[in-house]
Amino acid sequence: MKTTLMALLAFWGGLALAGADIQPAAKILNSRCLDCHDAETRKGGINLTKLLAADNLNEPKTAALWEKVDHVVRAGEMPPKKKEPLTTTQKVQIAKWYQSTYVLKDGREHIGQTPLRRLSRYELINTLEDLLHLSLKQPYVFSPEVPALLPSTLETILPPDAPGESGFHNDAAHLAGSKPPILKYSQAFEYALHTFAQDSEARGKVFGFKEEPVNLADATANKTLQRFMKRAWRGYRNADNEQVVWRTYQAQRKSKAPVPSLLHAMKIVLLSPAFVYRIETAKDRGTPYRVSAYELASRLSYFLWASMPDDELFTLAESGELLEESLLSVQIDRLLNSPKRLSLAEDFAGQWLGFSEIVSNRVFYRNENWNRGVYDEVLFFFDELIKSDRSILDIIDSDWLYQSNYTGVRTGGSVHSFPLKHQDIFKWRRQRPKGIRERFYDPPRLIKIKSDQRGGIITSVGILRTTSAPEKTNPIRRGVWMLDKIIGRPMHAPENVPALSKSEKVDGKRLVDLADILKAHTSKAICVSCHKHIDPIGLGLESFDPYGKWRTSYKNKRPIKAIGQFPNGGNFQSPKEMKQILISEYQKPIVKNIVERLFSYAIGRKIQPYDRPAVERICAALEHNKFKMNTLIQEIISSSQFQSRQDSP
Amino acid sequence: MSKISYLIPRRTFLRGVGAALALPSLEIMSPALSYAKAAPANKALRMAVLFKGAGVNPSSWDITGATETDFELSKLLSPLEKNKSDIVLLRNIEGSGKGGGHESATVNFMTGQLRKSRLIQRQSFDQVIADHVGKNTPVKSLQLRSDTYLDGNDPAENFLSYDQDGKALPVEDKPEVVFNHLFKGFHNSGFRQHTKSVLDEVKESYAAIARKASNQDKQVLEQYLQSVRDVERDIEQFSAQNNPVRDARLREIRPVPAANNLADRTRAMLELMALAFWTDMTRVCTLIMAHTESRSTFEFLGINDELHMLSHFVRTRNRSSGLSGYDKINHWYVQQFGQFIDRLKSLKDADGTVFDNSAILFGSGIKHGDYHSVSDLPLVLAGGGGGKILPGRYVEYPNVPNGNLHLKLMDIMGVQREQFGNSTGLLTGISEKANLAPKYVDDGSWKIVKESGNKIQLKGMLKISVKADDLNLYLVQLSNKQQLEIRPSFGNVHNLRLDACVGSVVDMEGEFTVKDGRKIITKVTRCKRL
Repeated sequence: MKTTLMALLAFWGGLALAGADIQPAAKILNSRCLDCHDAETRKGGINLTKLLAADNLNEPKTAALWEKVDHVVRAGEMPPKKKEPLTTTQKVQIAKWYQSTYVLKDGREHIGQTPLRRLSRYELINTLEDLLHLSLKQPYVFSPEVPALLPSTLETILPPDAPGESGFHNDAAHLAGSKPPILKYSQAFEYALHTFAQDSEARGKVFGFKEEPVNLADATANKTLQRFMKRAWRGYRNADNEQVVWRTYQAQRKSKAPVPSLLHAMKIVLLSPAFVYRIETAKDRGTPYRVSAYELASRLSYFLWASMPDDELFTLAESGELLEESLLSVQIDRLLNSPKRLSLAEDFAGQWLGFSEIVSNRVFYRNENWNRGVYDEVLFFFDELIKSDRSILDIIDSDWLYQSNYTGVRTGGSVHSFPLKHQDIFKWRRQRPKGIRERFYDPPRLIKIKSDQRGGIITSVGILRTTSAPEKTNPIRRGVWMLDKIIGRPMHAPENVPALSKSEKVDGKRLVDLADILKAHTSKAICVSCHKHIDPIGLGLESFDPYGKWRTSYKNKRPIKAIGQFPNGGNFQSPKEMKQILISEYQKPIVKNIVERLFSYAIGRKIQPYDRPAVERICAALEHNKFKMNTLIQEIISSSQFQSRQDSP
Repeated sequence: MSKISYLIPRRTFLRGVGAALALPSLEIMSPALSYAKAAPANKALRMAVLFKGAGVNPSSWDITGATETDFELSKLLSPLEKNKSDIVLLRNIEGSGKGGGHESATVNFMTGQLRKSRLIQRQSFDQVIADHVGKNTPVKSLQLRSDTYLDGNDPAENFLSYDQDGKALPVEDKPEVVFNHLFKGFHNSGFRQHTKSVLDEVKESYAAIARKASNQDKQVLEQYLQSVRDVERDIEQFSAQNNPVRDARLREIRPVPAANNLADRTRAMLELMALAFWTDMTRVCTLIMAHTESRSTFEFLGINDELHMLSHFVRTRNRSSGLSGYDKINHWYVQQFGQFIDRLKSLKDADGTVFDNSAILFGSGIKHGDYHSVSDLPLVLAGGGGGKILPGRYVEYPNVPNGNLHLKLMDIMGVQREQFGNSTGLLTGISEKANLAPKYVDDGSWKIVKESGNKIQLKGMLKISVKADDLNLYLVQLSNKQQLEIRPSFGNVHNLRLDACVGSVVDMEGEFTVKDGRKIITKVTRCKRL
């Protein structure tokens, strides 16, 4: 059935329809949907009448509603089971209307308008480190005084970013919408350059000389600045802009020695929009076209390293070789083999799964080793997916995990290692500092487990803790977290729906157990639509206390009932069984969600309807290749969204 | 006056700021500032908002049986006993909508309207004021937070202040960074000059890039230019103002210590606000003391539960410590507010004290912590407002939209506007005695109107009673002094927004049972505020 639908879609797509006719779809809505979903009845709060008003076409609000219609029709969720289903033709007509209006442009795939990207704070600090050959971050130390990971000086100067609609700090639209903190930039760059000036090795690399010359020939100074501009602006060329910097240098030279003058000019290079923004050359085209080799180099390095390209990438950009597919794939492997890939676990996964709060949010502080251990367990786990190219479904469940000595949770198992695809990047965290004899922090170790209790990231101490209050678990928060972060169905707290409590009686029975209360959720029509998804998951995790420890009873001695049922009828008796149901029954949405998250992070924006063909291709490729993490990264980079630009919507 | 001195900064402070100190341009406290006992500056008025989200337990907050000038403070307000003559207690001021989720609580509090979208709201009232008075100070306005940023939550919960375009203004949560921002940098004329010349060059670079940029990129890049101009404005502002009083006061400033827990951070932020007002570095300031969905715990009060969970005290009724913990936390916040009042009173200003020239609004965007009602918001106004606030009173308004209060605060700060948010007019009874007739007079008509079977209809004053062992009890006061108990289910209260009617005379219908000869209403089917 589904293949026919896809085939038909492909067929219509090929016809290059310019602006499909809404009539057939409108007719179906009219006859089959409006009984329940008109402006008056609004069953489930859904009113489809507004979709039929001509002037509402293509408005963002109706687009989201059409997306919903398209989704429930495709998935067969609507009309509801007790009603007569839509015919194949009807389904195709709705799909065709949606596809031609919201997915395709003039009958063709496209990628929407490419947004201008400003560096996030995380990217900015990484870039300054690489550009100036400095270490500007704090050593990895917890401070009981903060209490969290000690912030670096730059982090105390630069304000943190808020996540945008994509859910990530590198969201282009959100960064574009907020004012760049110029004064803070100025102070941050001043600090970075000040540190740079005192580091003879770094100076040597950038200036080409270690000892300060009494006099510097203009030509040499110019060459130094040219080289610096090219790296700082990542290949963006603008003769006028270069002139601004050169004039600055010359003006400074009138009263200052060569090096202070160079430093001043470098500050202008950094404060130029060409450094803070990743400017690409636009060709004013409404269809996708490939970006230049330099632009691709930046896209690659900011995706995989959250930093600027290195010399090798610049060289390949200069020669244009980077645009060759075979070479590109070698470069992807090279980039992933670098310690800088840490950004994927730290910045991407840390934000996506929220576990970075374990080290950044004071409310989770317990003690230095506990927080480090808990954080590292998830960090190492995620990196392992890249390092030994494992399935992204291991996030849900796995027969291996990283175990720390300090979390208070131990799972039996033997130390293990997988064949490496990329080098181990955490070696340095395992090294004991020289001269320290007493026991130092031991990073978590990879172990092979046979456990009904653990496996995957969702039952890691870090996740179980961040979704709980210190003394009480919150099954609904855990359920909502799973639906949002793992399955990709964000839930919003209802604004006008009554909540249940133990004061409530359902079927004449007073609610005693948590499970009973949650059951009431699924017996009241108003709650069911969301809680049928939320509760069984949250309940399935009740066997874990707020600190992730296994428990069989609550403090008040009541036994834990971590059993539940999914809406599709799947029963489970343990977290292990719950995870297996997730993997077997929810595999498609889970994979799609993970794809969309990483894709969003890579292209710096929310996934839009027109990204659907690309997302589907990536999902299909993943399925063919055992859901391997490196396939996912390669496929994202292969997409037109990643490699091309488009200058109008 | 004595020097304002603090502990020598601890390790973290040194780490954070020490490096910045190394910068020649960030030289702290230039000795060039002249210490002059100059003539007092013009009377500068200041306005601050202290937002303590997550509501209150109404029974512990509400004052009963009071008149405008004769009132006893409630349990939660008791820390303000010594400040009774400094404050105006406001009743029955309400936000927009019928109360709801957390997402709107801060936005509603600041704009008198519900949340517009995730990221964009209408301009908040403090920024309307800042647009007018901000031009007189080096820093237009300060946005601070002493609670922890909630990354996983709705963005609207994390901000109080929104600019003209409805964009959230960044909120600073590190006291040492605020300190740097306020008391370092621009005070040094060398730094001002240096920054200005750098910005001139940056503008040239911007122009070179903008000339070649595509139209849509240009729109984004303009933000950059705008930002440059903002800094230039601040520099000019600072250079143009010959303010010896400020200079003299700035000389008194010493670093605030690093703050490593919620209590220290809250005190540090309040102290910074006081100093910012005193030195006239800014006149508008907002502080998020607690988010509506705060995950903070209060170990220093012996409480290890998250504030947000405690605030849902009806639903977490199995936790006996819940309600007392919730009350304790709110009590602590009121205490901090009281100390802030005292601090402002200790700072001499051109005309009296800084407190005399300030308007401080303390409160929450919801009333009942569990039901999220937005009627009768918990609000306290403090300060002399430069003579425009008549303190020492308790004012029970008829139900008034909070936009009226916003308009009044603008008015105090010298900003005239016809309308704001849900406003219907300027709030009266702030600068002058309200002399409001009691909202309701028992005319003898508060009684059971109809009764048949288990159905009942009645009219009377609705009250709430929250006790540790009885968290969901409502009462209807009748003319004959009898109080009829209502013991509804949680869902029933929530559905009807029953707690939004508390304090009003209501026309109510419901079902009852009889227990020990007393009628107890077990379900309310209709409740209308009269």
